[in-house]
Amino acid sequence: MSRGIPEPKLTAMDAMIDKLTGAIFVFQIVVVMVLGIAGNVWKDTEAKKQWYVLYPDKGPWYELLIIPLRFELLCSIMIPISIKVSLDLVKGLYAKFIDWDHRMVDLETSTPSNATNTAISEDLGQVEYILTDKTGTLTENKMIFRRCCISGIFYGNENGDALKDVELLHAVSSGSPDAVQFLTIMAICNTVIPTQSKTGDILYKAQSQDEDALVQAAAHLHMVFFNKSGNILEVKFNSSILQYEVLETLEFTSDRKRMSLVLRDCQNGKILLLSKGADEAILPYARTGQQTRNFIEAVEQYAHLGLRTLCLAWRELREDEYQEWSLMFKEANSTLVDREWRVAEVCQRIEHNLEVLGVTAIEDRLQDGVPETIETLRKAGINFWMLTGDKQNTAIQIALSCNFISPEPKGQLLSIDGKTEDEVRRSLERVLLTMRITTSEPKDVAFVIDGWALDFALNHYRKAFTELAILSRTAICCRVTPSQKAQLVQILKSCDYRTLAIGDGGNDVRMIQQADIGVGISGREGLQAARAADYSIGKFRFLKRLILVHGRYSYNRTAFLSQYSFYKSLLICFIQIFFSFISGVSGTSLFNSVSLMAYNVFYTSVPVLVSVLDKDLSEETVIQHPQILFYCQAGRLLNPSTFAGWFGRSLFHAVVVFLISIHAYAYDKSEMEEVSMVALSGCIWLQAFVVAMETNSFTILQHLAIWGNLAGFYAINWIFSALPASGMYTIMFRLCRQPSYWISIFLMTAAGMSPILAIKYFRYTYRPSKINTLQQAERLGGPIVSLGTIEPQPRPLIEKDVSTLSITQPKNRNPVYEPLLSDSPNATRRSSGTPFDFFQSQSRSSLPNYSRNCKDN
Amino acid sequence: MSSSGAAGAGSTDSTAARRNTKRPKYSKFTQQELPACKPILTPRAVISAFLLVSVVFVPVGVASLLASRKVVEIVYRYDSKCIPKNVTNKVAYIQSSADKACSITLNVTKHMKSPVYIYYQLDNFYQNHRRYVKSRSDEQLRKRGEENETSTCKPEDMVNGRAIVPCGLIAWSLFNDTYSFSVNKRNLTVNKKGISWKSDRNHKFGKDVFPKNFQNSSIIGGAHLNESIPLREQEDLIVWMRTAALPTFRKLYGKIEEDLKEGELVNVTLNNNYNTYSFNGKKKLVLSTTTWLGGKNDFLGIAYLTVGGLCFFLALAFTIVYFVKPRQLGDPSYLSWNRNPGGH
Repeated sequence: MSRGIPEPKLTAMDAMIDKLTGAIFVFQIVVVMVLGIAGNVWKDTEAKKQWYVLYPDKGPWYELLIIPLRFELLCSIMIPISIKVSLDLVKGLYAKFIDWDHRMVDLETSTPSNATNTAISEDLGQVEYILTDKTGTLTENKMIFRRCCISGIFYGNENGDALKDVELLHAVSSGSPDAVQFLTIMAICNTVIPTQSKTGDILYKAQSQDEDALVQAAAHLHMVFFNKSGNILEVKFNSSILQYEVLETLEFTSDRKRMSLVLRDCQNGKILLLSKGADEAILPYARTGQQTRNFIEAVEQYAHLGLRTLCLAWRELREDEYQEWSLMFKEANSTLVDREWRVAEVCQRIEHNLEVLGVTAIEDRLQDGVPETIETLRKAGINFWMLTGDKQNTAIQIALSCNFISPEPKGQLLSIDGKTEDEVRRSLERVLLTMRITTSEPKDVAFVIDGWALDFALNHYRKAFTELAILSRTAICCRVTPSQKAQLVQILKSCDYRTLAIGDGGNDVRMIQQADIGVGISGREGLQAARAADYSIGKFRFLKRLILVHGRYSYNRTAFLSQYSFYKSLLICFIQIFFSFISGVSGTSLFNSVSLMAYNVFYTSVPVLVSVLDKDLSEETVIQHPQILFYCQAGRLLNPSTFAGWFGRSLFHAVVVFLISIHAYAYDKSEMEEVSMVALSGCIWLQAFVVAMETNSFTILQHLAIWGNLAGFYAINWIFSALPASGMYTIMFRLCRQPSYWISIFLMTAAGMSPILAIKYFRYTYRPSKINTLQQAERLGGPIVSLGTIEPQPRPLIEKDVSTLSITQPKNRNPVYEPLLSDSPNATRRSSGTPFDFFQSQSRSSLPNYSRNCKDN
Repeated sequence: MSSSGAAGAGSTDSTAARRNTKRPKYSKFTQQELPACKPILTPRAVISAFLLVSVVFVPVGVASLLASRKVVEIVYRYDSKCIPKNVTNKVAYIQSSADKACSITLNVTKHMKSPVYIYYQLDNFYQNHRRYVKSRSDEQLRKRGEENETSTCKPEDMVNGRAIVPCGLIAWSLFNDTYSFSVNKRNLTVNKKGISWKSDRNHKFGKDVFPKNFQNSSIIGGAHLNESIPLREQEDLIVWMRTAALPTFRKLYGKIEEDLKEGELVNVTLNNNYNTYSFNGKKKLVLSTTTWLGGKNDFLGIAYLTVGGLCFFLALAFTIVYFVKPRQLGDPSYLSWNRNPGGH
C-alpha cells in the first residue's frame, strides 16, 4: 500500500506554545529596545556625572549597542529553554503511561497499547473528528458462518446457528445431494490453502475471512477440505476421500463480485463449474427455468439481519464446451492490453446457466463496547465519520447498530448520490440545504455518500462539500478508496479541526498518516496500520480511554507545565527588569549566574515535572461525564487569555518579591548578595506554593518534589555558602540567622498567594467551571448525578429516507449482522445495464479506479 | 491476510498461556493509581486559612513595628550644610585641596543605648551600576601573588604599567569623609574594629596584601590607603567593597560604645571630602541603635499589618458571602452541557 512520506506531526498545543513563545519574544525585543534606549539616555545624562563609574568621554563606536545587548542577556531567560526539555520528558512519560496501561491491554491477544509517536498525546485530548474504518475496526473482522438456505430450506433460523441445526445435520448425514453439493462448494470453491499441523489439526490459510468461515463451517459439517497439492484438491466426506482436479480458477474481483472454479471430479471425470458470489452476480445467471424467488427472499432476509450473504451455484460443463472456453481463457490471460477486462469478459461466457444451490449467511460481529464507546465519545463532542470500502447498505446497517447514526425520528440520514456530475451537484445542494435548516433542530443529521459521488464532490464542489463537512456531525462514506480517505482527512484538517483516523488495514494507512492522530488497531488484517499509526490499540473500545483519560490528562498537564514554565521565567526576568530601574538602567544582574542557572534547571523544573501525576478529575468521573472533554477541545486551558493570567501572575509576584526585598533590605542591609538571595528565596517559595495551588491531587511524589525542592534549595545554597571561593560565601548562613529574612519570606508568600487564593476560591465557588463542579461533587463524596443524556436510549430501527430498512425480525443487539451484498440503490445502479458497466466507465478519464481498491471482505 | 485458528479449538489455551508475556508490569505508578490526597477549596478551609494568616500576621506586624519604633535614630544631612555659603561651584570646591572641615551638632532626642552605630548614608549613589559592581579583583584582594590579576578592574587596573592594589572602581572610589564625635567637649571614642564582616576579613582580604600604586593615577577618586597596613585591617575598605544593591544605602563607619543620654548634644567634626555634588547625591550621618530586627525600618511591620488586615477582610467578606449567598458545592444544576444546540 502506498505509504507516502509521513510528515512530522505537531500538536495544536505545540503550535499554541510556539505562538505564545513568539509573543514573548516580541515582548522581549520591545523590553530590550525600551530599556536599551532608556539606558543610553541615562548614561548620557546621568552616568556622565557619576564620576565613580568613570565613563570614558569618547567611547568606541559600538558603545550604543552595549546596554541593549546587556539587557538582551538579562532578558534571554524570558523564553524558557527548559520548556522544551521538560515537555519532551513529560511527553515521553505520557506515552509510557499509555504503553503501561493495563486497562488498554487486549486480553484476547494480550497486545498492550502502544504509543509510537511520543510527542502528540495532548492532541488526543483535543480531537474533534474521528474518522473510522469499519471492517476490523468497528467489527471484529471475525467471520462466522451462521445461517444458510439450501434449495429453499432455511437452516439456522431457529437457533441462529446453522451448524447446530438438527435438520441440516440430518440433511447432510442422509446424503441429500443438494446439501452435499452445497457443502462441497463451501469447502473447495475458494483459494484457501489447508496445512496440516503436527498434531493433525488442519489449519487454513485464507486470504478472505469469509472464505475461511465457509471452509471452517464445511469442516464442521464433515466436509473437510484437508489437502491441496498442485491442482489436486482432496476432501474428506464421511470417511471417504474425494479428489478434484482444478482446471481453471476464475478469480474474485470486486467488479465481478463472484469467483468460480472449473474442476474435474476425479471420481467420475465430470467437469464442473462451481461459483460463489454476490446475489446480483449469481442470481441473474441462474439456469432458465429455475425459480430464484426463494433465494432472493433469503438474501433479503439475511441482509436485513445484517448478515453478509453469498450465493452458491454450480453447473456441469460438457467436455467440448470446456475445451473451447479454455482456449479463450488462456488467450485472454496472456493479453497485455486490458487484460483484466478481457478475462472478465471470457469468464462471463462460461458463468451462466447456473444451478443455484443456496445462500450462505456470515456474521461479522461488532467488537465489544463499540456502541458505548461511540456514544461516550460523541457525548464528548467528537464527531464521527465512517469511511469504508464496503457498500452503502452494509455501512448503514453497521452504523445503526453501533450508535453511529440514530434512527428516525431522532436521526435523519441524507444521501448524496448521482451518476453524473450534475446529479451529484443537485444532490449535494439539496443535502446542504436540509442540513442548514436542521442545524437548529435537536436532531442527529448525517449524510451518506459513496465513492463515486465523493469523487465529484471532492474535485468539483469542494467548497460546498467542505461546508457540509462542517455542518454535519456524522457522515458515512462508502466505497471510498484509500486516497479518498486521506482527502477527507485533509478537508477536515483544512477546516482547522483536529482529526483522528482509526483503522486496521493497509488501506487505512494513508488516512492514518494524513490525520493529526493516527490510531491503528493491531487486528486481524495485519500490523500495517498499527505500524504506520501514532498509537496502536488492540480494540476499538480502548479509544475511549485513550482520548478521555490519556488525551485529556496529557492536555491538562501540558497546559499547566508550559504556562508555568513561562511564569517562572517571566518572574525572574521581571525582577531583573525592575532591578535595572534602580541600578541606573545599566543592565546589572541582580542574581549571580549560578543562581540563575540553578533556578531554571533545578529549582523550578523538578516540582513541575511531577505535575505529570496530577489528575484534576478521577478517571471514572471523566468517563461518566465525557462532555468535560470540551475544555480540552476548545483549548480552554491553554490559550492567550489563560496565558495572560499567568503573565499577570508573574508580574504581580515579581512586584511583590521586588518591593519587599528592596524595602525590607534597605539602608544598612542593602548588600547586593543578600538582597539577591532574599529575592531568589522569595521566588522559590512563591513558585512552590503556585505549584501546590495548581495541583489538584497530591501523591507522595508531588509532596516530595514540591517541599523537597524547597528544602533542596536551602541545602544547595548552604553548600555554596560554605565555599570560600564562591561569591555568596556565608551569605545563606547569615540570612538564615536573621529574623528579618524569614519575616520577609513569609510576607512575600502571604502577599503573593493570598490574592491568588482569594480569586481562585471565588471562581471555584461562585463561578465554577464544569471541571470545578465535578471536582467538588467527586471529592465531597456526594452522588455524582448522572446527567439526563447518559441514560441509554432505546434504539429501535426505523426506516430512513434513503434506503428503507424494514426490519422484520427482532434484532439481536450485540452481534451485528452485516449485509454484504444486499440490494442497495448503488448495487442496482452498478449492475444495471451490462454487467460490466464499470469497465466502460473506466474509459472515462475523470474516474479514479476506486472500486478496485475497495476492501473485499 | 491473517491465518486464523483452524478446525480444532485449542487457540484459547495458547492465548491464556501467552497472556502474561506481553502484558506490561503492574504498579500503582504505571497505572497512575498512586494514592492521592485531593483537597478542595471548601469555604471552611479557605476562610480558616485567611483567618490563620491574619491571626499570625497581625501580632508579628505589631512586634516588628514595636521593634522598629524602639530604635533611636538620628539622621543628619550634611552635604549642603558643609559647603561654605560663598561657594558657587560645589564640585570645584570639593575637588580643591582647601580645608573642608565642618562642624555639626546632633541632638539626642531619646536615650540611646550602647552600642550606638555610626553610619554614613549616600543617596543617589549607584554602587550597583554594571560598570562599577564588576570592577574588582577578588583574587588580587585575597592573595599577594595574584596582584597582577587586574583584568576585571578596568579602567582602574594599571597605572604607569604597574598593577594597582586594590584595583577597580569600587576601591578607587572609597568613601573618605571622616567623623569625630564629642559630647560636652569630651571626645567619644569611635571603635572602628569589627565593623566589617568577619568572613570578609578572614577569607576575602589577605593579611599580606598591601596597597600599592593606589590613587596614583591622574584622577583621584576617593580615599587614600596607608600602604603599610594590610588590606585585612583596612576595614573601611572592606565595608565599602560590600556593594549595595540600592542607590540609597548606609555603610557602617564605627561604633560608639557608650550610652548617649536624652538631651545631650553631640558635636561632630567632619571632613567633607567625598564628592557627591557632581551627581546631586546626598550625604547623611546616621547614629542608630539596633534591635532583633535590625535598624529602624517600619516597612515590615506595616506590611505585615496590611497583609494581615487584608486577609482578615477577605475572611470576613467570604464568610458574609457564604452566609448571604450560600452555594452548594458540586451542585449538578451547574452542569448543563448546552453547547451544541443541534446536539442532544
